[in-house]
Amino acid sequence: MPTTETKDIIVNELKQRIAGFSRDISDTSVGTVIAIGDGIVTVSGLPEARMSEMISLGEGKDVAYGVVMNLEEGQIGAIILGEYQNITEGDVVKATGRILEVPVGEAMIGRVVSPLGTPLDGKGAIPSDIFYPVEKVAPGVITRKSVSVPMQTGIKAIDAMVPVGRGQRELIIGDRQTGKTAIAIDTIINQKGKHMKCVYVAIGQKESKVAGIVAKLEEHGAMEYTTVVLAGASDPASLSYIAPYAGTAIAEYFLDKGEDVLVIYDDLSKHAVAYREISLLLRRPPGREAYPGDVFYLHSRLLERACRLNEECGGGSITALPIIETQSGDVSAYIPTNVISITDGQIYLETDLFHQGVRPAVNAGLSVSRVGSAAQTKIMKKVAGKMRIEAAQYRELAAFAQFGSDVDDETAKRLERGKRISEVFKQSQYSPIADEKQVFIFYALLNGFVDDVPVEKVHSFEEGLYAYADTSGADTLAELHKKGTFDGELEEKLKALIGDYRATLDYLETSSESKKGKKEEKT
Amino acid sequence: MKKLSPQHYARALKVALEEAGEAEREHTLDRFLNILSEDMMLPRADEIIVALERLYDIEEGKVHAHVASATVLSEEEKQMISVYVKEKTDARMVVLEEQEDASLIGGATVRYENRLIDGSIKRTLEKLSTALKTR
Repeated sequence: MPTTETKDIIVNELKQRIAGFSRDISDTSVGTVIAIGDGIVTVSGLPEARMSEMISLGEGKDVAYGVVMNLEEGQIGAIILGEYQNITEGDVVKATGRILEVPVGEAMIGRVVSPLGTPLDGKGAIPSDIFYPVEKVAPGVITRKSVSVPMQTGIKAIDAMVPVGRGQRELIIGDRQTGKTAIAIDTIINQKGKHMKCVYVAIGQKESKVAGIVAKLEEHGAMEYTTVVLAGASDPASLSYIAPYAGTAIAEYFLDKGEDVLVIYDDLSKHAVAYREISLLLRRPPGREAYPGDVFYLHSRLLERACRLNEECGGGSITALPIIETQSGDVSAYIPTNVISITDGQIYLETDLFHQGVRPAVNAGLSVSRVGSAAQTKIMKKVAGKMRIEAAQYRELAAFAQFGSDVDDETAKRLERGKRISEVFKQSQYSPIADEKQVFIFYALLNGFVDDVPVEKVHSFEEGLYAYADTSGADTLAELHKKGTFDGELEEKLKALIGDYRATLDYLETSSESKKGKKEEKT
Repeated sequence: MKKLSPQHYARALKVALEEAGEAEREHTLDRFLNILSEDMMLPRADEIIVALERLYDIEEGKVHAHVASATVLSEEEKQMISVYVKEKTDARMVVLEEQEDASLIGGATVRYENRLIDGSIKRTLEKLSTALKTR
């Protein structure tokens, strides 16, 4: 209950505000709606409107906002953001003099917002008085630095074969139902405690799917550092079109504070489709696959905003993980080739592998990271450096070996090793593995400690190894985490630990243990 | 061939009418209508007329000002509006189109060319309501 005193204060404040309110006469530049529909409005007049400027349509409560996309002689074309049922032909259009902005700030963390920054999660208004423009020119050459700090995904196959660095743009590409989003979500979950902010941009996604994702993130405590920007499947194309730019604007706030941010665009195929729809409705000439001529620029200007800034500019970074959905594995379609050429590498997911039970279904041969080992810790570089080549060769050999049963010893050995590598790369969803633990299993793998483990037992061997490392090798784990480099002493510790663990397993012959030891000494 | 807009037709008609002598004008109009029907532009004749009017307005320096007011304006007030618009647009003549709009509550709005002068109480109240909502 407000007391009379507080009431007086409120009344006084109102009085002051009313007194300070001047009753002036406005003289503004206006236009008239001449056609409206499909989320597009054609306006006559408004000669002072500029490109990408926000315009307001209608008056009073029914006001809608649009963004200028076309400037023609005597008329302009604009996209409408949100509802526009009450706008009719002949309505007044005013230029606002501002370009499209979204609220940004710490308050956005943990929230699900629309591309305009309005909350969609029913957790109340977002208090923020800082606004960032949705479209912004990417940082220039002088302000940048090359990628050198790893961004661990917690997924063994990716951290070993296609390492991603902070500030890199790595494309996740594959058919529908190959686990593209799963990789993105696992990566977000793995950022816990790694001083990363995450922005997940859902473009044209089913709202039920996004609700599921948000629930999973909450369950793993990942919403504490994540913002979800949602342009749903039922939202107009204009919102899908601005969603990734809005998401990047939210990320840029943290970048300017010198923090590291991970942005996921799920997915850019739908973004290109939304832009195609807008372009065709604006009567821009269609090109290949009916996309407009500037569809490359659409994605290049977005992904160019991912960067690693140098120390003078704060040292922050934006890592971008765009997702592209291909149609029956066709990577040579228009949009996939565009985005492949823009990004610094791609993670290629395959339906066949997925159905064979290799999950994540990363194709070792076609996946690359152009930043490569620069984005790995020294220790990881050492143990996992050759992993991608070996895994890729195994795939080829395995296909070849199907024809004949007679293979020479060397090939047989490689095949056996390859089987175990691909077994180790299998990983269930929502269970990212810490970097130092990955080092354990990769070290064991590369130094032949897994060669005599039956293929079907590899998984339980791995699980056991982690559990053993947690209990008996806690200090070694901590040392690995702290040092980040390999020296003889640490390597001995690692070797001893794995040896001790092997001794506890009943399905391994102890005789092979001693043999193994001798072999190691020779090499 | 690129489709011609009503503006193109209007401009062509204006030039044709000017070039034709007094006696030929009716004939020119007849032929123009034939062309319109051939080009299937007759349904858009309205737009052509509007465009033609605009062309003549520009030539004569005539500016239309649409005035909406809550109450009937006095002759003096109308005169003031005319003078203001004339000054702003460098027009030789101002044509006032009046309309009464009770929803404005008080004051008036003037719309000319691409500008809108809003001195209505309705807008002031709207502005006040947003000013009270946001701090």
